[in-house]
Amino acid sequence: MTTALSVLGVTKRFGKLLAVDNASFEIKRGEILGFIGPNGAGKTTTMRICATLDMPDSGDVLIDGRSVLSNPREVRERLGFMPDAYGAYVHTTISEYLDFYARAYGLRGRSRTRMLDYVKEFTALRPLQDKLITALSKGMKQRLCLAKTLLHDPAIMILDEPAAGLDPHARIELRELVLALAGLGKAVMISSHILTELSQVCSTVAVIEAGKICATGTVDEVIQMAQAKHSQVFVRSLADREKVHRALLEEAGVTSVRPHKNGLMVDFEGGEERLARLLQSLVERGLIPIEFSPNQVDLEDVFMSLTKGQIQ
Amino acid sequence: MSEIEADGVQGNEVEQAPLMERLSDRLSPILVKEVRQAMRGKYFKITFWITLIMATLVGLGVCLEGVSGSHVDENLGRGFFIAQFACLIVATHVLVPFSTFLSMGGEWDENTWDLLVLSNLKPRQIVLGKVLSGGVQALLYYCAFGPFLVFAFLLHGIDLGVLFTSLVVSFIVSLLLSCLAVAMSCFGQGKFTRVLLMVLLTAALVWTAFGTGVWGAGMMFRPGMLHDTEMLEAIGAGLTIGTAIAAYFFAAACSRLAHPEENRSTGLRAMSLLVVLSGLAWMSWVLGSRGRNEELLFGACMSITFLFVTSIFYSTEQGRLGLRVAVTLPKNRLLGWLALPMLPGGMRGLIFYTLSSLMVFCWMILHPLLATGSLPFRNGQVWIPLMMMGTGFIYLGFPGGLLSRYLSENWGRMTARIGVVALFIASIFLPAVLGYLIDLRSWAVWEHPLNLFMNFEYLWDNDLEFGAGVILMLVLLAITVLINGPRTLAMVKEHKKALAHRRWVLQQQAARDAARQQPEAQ
Repeated sequence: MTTALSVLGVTKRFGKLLAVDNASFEIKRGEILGFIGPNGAGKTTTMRICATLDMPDSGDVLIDGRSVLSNPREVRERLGFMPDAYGAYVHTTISEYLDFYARAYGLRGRSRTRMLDYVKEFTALRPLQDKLITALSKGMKQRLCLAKTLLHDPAIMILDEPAAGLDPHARIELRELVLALAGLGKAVMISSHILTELSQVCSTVAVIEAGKICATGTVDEVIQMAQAKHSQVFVRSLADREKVHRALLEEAGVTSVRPHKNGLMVDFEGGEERLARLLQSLVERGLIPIEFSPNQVDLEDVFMSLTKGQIQ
Repeated sequence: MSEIEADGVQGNEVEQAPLMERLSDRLSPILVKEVRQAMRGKYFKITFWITLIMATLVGLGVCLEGVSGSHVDENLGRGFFIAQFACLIVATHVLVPFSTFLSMGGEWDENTWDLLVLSNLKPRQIVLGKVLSGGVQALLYYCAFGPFLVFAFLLHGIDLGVLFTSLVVSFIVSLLLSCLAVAMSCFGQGKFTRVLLMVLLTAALVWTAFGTGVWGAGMMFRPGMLHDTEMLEAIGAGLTIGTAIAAYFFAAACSRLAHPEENRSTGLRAMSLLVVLSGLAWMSWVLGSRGRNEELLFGACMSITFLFVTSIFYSTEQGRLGLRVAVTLPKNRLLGWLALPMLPGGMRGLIFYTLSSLMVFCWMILHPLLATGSLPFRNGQVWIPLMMMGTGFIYLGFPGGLLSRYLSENWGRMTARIGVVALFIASIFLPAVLGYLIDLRSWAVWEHPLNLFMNFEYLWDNDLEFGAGVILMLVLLAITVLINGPRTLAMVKEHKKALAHRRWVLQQQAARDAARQQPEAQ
């Protein structure tokens, strides 16, 4: 797969505030990258830099090999950006709105008509095309913005919080649309706070906090990385609980142990190898566990584990 | 390849479409959108119908006034036309430009600006689209007033030439005002600034509407004026100056809409130069083979004043070239250096002012030499533009040079700009006050070497003396050059770096293209 978007050591300051600190990651064609981080972590700033709307103080972003610094116009031809907050023109119908942007993107004649038909079909907006934008629901407005973003058939899509404020039904529809876009070979970068949603669509993840990229890679890689940092194991043994408690605290990597249901919940730092050694040690001490289950880690745990919720 | 491409719906492919659709493709997307929105919006609908109702009522009033029994006032046609023209002017000179002001501001207020930028429309296309939509709205008013104007003509007493000229001139003025309104809307996005701009714009619109109305009425009552050469020259000059101002505002709006890291200055500088060159060309044409000292000096001084005023902004720009400017430099190294005065940056702005003022001075010398073979200047008159240029250099260079480190900040630029104006005022008033305090009579009555106007008056009647005034000016010039030394060095260094970067980008591009072509060839 070829690289569609490369963020190369991007740094951005707003006065004294370091909004993005030497961020680097890349997205390949057909890949969906979930861009996660707490509020104020620098997600929107990074996305706006990728979309040519803001300029980095240092570093660069390459979209299909074109620099956002030196070739913003060429970049915009290849990029579709859906901002988290955007307005819509009053007294304008869906059809007129899309027609305006199609003209603005340079689509002419029948090509424009066919593209408009295609995006209306793709986003299921055709039945509503004569409705005024001001009368649309939040979900429909998100669809409209997505339709607008697709008009010039961009190779790379950047979606900033597209699911914010959507009801579960609209979220599922949006998820399907995003998967369909990746299916078309587009590279998609998507930020969201709804991590369960993201985990269902993303193939790769980049975690950002306080402007720094904490982790990046496939979802599995990042989960492993997070587990290497911190994980939880539920241990239940037939031996005396106090004895097991003390033994666990003596083990390397165990940070805390607390009673949980009929067993003990162990906070643990280290990878799978260390976890195996912990189990071996318990067995060697004769405290054979009848239950030893590491918690299944998802993106939400990764998020909590890798970030401290630092707001800049 | 994506499904969309596979479907053959690529952007640049133009297939045969119905005639109307092909015609509409030629129109600016902004124009199409704006006209659609205006036609649906309340503002246009309400103002349009109120204007028409007012025009009808006023017309009825004029008719009732002019007709008593079977006697019809012979000036009824003129009165009726003036009443309709007044209503039309209010609509096209005040309401329409104001709607374009609101429409431009709406892009920020309604948070649609980012999407517009991403659509790759150039600032020029956006501003032009907004101005043209103002033109279309004005045309609708002219069409709606058509029956009233025909009726006025049928009432007799109306010169068809005057009627036609008034309508054409007022339409052009309306377009120029729309341009001004769009530009003013781009100058501020904060609430306070917008309100202030709105007040200023309203004042300018009402004042212009009043002026056009009075001019139209005057023409209607004295139709012979239309055949007067001086009147035609005045209309031509007025429209030329108006167009130059509007064009400058247009360029200013485009520069405001460009990204801060893009080139926001070259267009404006080019427009300044164009305005000055057009003015000088127009003066050369008017003067013909004449070469009167007053006219030549007037032309030169006005041009230098215009360059000085616009250079207040150029010479206080931040020194650093924007990140997206270096890549737009000419490929040729020599051209790259020649383009320097036209590029953004405070020091480059000062160089621009100096070179363009020198060009004006050359025009003042060359025109009479080529036209008559001699110079018409007496005494030290020939030095007036040079002295003006030098004084301007000091005023521009002092604050810009002193604050050069802070020009990247908004407050720094604003302080430097205020500093130029303050320095100009202080250099005239402070020595006079000082003269009053220390009982130096000549200074107290404004006759001091820093009073530019007194110097001009002196040079008009006397030869240039290498006295205290000239020495003071040379010393101040030298200080200004010294103050600007560090930023000049920084500018040269940066320009060298930018040219090198440009070459590197071109090499990278060539390498990329070659790499792309290789697999294709295989």
